[in-house]
Amino acid sequence: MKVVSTRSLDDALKALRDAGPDARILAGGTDLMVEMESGRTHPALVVDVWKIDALRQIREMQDGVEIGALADCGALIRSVQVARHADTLIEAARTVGAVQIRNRATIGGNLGTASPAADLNPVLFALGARVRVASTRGERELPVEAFVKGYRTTDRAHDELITSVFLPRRPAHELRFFRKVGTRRAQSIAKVVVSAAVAFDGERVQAARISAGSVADRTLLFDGLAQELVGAPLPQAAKLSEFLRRHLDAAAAPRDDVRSTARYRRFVLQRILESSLRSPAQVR
Amino acid sequence: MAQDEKDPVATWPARENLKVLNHDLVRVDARAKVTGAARYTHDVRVPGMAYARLLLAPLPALKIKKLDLAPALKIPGVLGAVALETDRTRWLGEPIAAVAATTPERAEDGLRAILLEYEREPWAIDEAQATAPNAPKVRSNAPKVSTDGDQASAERACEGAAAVIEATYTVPVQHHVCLETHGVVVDYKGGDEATVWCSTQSTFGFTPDAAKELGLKASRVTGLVEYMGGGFGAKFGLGLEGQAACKLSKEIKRPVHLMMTRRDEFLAAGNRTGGKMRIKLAASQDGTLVGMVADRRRFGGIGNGSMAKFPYIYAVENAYSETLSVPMNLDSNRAMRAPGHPQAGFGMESALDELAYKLGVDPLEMRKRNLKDKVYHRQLERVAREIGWYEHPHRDKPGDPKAEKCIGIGFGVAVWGGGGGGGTECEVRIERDGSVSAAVGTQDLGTGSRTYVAAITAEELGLRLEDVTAHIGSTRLPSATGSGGSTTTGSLAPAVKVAAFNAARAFAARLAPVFGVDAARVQFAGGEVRDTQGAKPALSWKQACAMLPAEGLSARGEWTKDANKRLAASGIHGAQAARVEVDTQTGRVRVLDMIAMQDCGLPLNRLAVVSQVNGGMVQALSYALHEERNVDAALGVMLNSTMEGYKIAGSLEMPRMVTIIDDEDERGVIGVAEATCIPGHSAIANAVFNACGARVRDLPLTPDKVLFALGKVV
Ligand SMILES: Cc1cc2nc3c(=O)[nH]c(=O)nc-3n(C[C@H](O)[C@H](O)[C@H](O)COP(=O)(O)OP(=O)(O)OC[C@H]3O[C@@H](n4cnc5c(N)ncnc54)[C@H](O)[C@@H]3O)c2cc1C
Repeated sequence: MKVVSTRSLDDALKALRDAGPDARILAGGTDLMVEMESGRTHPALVVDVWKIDALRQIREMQDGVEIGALADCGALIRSVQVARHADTLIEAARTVGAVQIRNRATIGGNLGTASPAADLNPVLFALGARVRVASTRGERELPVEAFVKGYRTTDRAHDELITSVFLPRRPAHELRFFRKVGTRRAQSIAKVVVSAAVAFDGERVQAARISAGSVADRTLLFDGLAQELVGAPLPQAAKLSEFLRRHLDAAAAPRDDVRSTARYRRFVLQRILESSLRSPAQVR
Repeated sequence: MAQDEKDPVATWPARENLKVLNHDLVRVDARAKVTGAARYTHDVRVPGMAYARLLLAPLPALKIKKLDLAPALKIPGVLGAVALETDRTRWLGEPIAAVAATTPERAEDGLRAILLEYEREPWAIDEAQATAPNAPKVRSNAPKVSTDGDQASAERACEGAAAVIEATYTVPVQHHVCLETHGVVVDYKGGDEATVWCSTQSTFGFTPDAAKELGLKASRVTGLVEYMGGGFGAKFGLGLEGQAACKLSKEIKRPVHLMMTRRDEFLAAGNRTGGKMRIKLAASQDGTLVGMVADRRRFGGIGNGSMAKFPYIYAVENAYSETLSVPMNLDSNRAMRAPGHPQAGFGMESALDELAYKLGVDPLEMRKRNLKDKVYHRQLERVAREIGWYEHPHRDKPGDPKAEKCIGIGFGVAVWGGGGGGGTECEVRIERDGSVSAAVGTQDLGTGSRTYVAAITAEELGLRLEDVTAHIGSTRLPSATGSGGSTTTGSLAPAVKVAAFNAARAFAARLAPVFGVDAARVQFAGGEVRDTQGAKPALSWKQACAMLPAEGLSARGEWTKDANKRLAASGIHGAQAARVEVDTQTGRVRVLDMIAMQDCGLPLNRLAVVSQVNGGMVQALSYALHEERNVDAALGVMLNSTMEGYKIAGSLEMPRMVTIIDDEDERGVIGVAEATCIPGHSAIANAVFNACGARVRDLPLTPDKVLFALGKVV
């Protein structure tokens, strides 16, 4: 195994171009090292991008915030820009691993692994994030739900690198939440994780994005559900319950695994979405 | 009394006169441990040392066709390899070979290079496989059912009773999860001497075997256990890993460091017996237990498993139980903190609790009614008061599960011995410069034995804790027994006390002429030596010691039946209460409070008693909510052999913990380590029922089981 370590984005992109599909990008390494240690991955080349500081920046723009792919969970938590534009991302980042992990776990790595249990990804889905990727061939940008394509699979070509994630400015009246149910209160991977952003125009729902993790082979965006919510006030108690059941049953496909059971995940997914959607305290 | 005056014997002073013992003592090695200065076996480095790793059986039952170590020896840095099993393996994780290399990573490369060819043999690693009609034979001698009590009368008693419950309770296989894994460092470079460090519960227990493996005389091998990072029952003897390290060291004539990896530890370092208990329990209208019939299974892998007898602690007029061990192709159970008790306790406490609610009897009253020993009554009442049971709104029926958060309280009790035995000896030395040491080869598992060895000596000589140095953890020191069954305190304390007492008497005899009085009038107190009647001015401790010859003074003491009678005792109780909050949306259980009342005779160090009880409660909480070995019976692998997959409770799960030492117990010292982990998980499970009516009969109480028990998830 060869390791290329560089401070230059261009060099990293060139290394990826020359390497072919057997290369792996190394950011914080909190996923990749686990994969290598367990013997699931034997890359011929590792391109270590950790020292490319240009990819670490968090920049506030007119229309939102751009977060460099190497921003780690610790940096997200400490960032005032992220606090202003993506408060739920901070809540999610706080639940990732423990301090040591958070100081290595990057937003690009969370996306790069595209684990169905990832905690940051549902927030990125809910906030309508756009993923920016670069290669020696040029740059492109795509919605996060198009980037995550399946179980630990993304739309990234082997020579591409995620450079940043763009999060649009939030509307004035929006219900936003992030909730994670883990095996224990810290250092645990989600049994179920949900995040949503529902914008209101008075009583009526103007736009909605609702996402969940650990309930299918990938992070899900419930767009059918969201579309039905738009244009009317949120349904009341019993109706909301019925409404969620109908949509979630169709969309979610949870499994039994070491961390929990499918039946549990289905039940809890609905309950936490329901109670969070009903909670006015979440309107920010 | 008259005899005492002639030939005084060591006794504890009245508790109110104790200056060091029965106080809160910060352990003498706290700073060393916190700063990292304490050297555990894991930390030992000796010049020229090689690191070793184990090759474990990848599947539960193998017929080995070929084991070729030669390719490993070709890996750069690999120094040697030994075969441990060349024919067949009988359990998942059984060590097959070991490799030593210049670094641990190279040793792992060496393992990967070993050529192992095998055929799978049929295996049984869960109950279904092990009890199937043509299940593979795991052990040559099939275990037999053992019975206890008279079946016919027990069945009859159940038939006629006012209320009966019948249910099956199961407990998972739990792991010890010691922070320091098992392992040894063998310092041998050829020749006829060696030093072996071992993370063990018995300093004197592993050295003879190490000598045998090395082909040396036992007297030429020094065993050392300076510090050790937890054992909980799993660390006795040299072990297969220790044997492997000795073999490697002997072969390569270099020191070998072999500490098991966390994965090795989960697969091949023991575990707590899992089990299943089908219980029929019957009571009369007032809650008196009249009949019990139980069918029990122990899951101890290739071991026998352990499960304490029924009816656990409680009195049942007519009880009958059948117990069968179900062997599987998995690592053997080992003793784990109160072997067999947490399992049996869970079955009994749950069944009794169910019956109480069925009868509409307050579960606390139901317990008292069936506990003959009144110590339990005062302990239960006290923990009930502390946790707010008497103000709790629903005591004989569960709370309403429609609430989003439900609060409940539950109880459990414990029993243990904790007495000591022979085989422990201590030497106390007083030097001419005033320094004092107490030496005994015993080990400190984190229980604080090093501290009380010094404390007992200090108390006897009228000194402060910091004036005495305790030397422990070496086979070069006076012998001591292993730490199992909470016997250490009961074995060690009398020996140390008698040694210190003898040192004080010998010193008094030397000083008597200085004071011009009888030795009996020479007293050591407050860092001074004085005549009890004050005829002459007191000497400072240092002044008195300066009168000793260059070799100082030493005295020995040992555990004897007689000393034991005066200084130690056996037989403890313990009651615990838990208050929990159940989130009925997610099924998550949060333990809010755990209150324990624990007797332990004379508490040598109150702080250490509290931390033992806290540790017991934490382990029980983790057993209640989180821990469980997970195996895939079809694939023949363990799914959670890492601490990522095998979750133990973390700091955020910790409840408010209150330990009340039962000071009404006026007996001598008793070991307290084990009783403390017996009641907690039962109290938590019962509290969950009291909170919301979810009766989970299968530990751990994971959120899905709680919701399932509430009928919310089907
Ligand atoms: C103990 C522990 C606890 C954890 N707890 C959590 C948790 O609670 N929640 C959670 O969501 N995750 C958790 N994780 C997983 C992990 O920390 C996160 O997924 C993290 O965001 C990964 O980031 P990284 O920088 O370490 O990724 P790396 O391991 O460096 O990379 C991960 C993957 O993404 C690719 N990659 C990395 N950067 C880029 C890039 N810029 N462009 C393209 N591809 C890239 C890599 O090639 C690799 O495939 C935990 C991990 C550990 C070890």
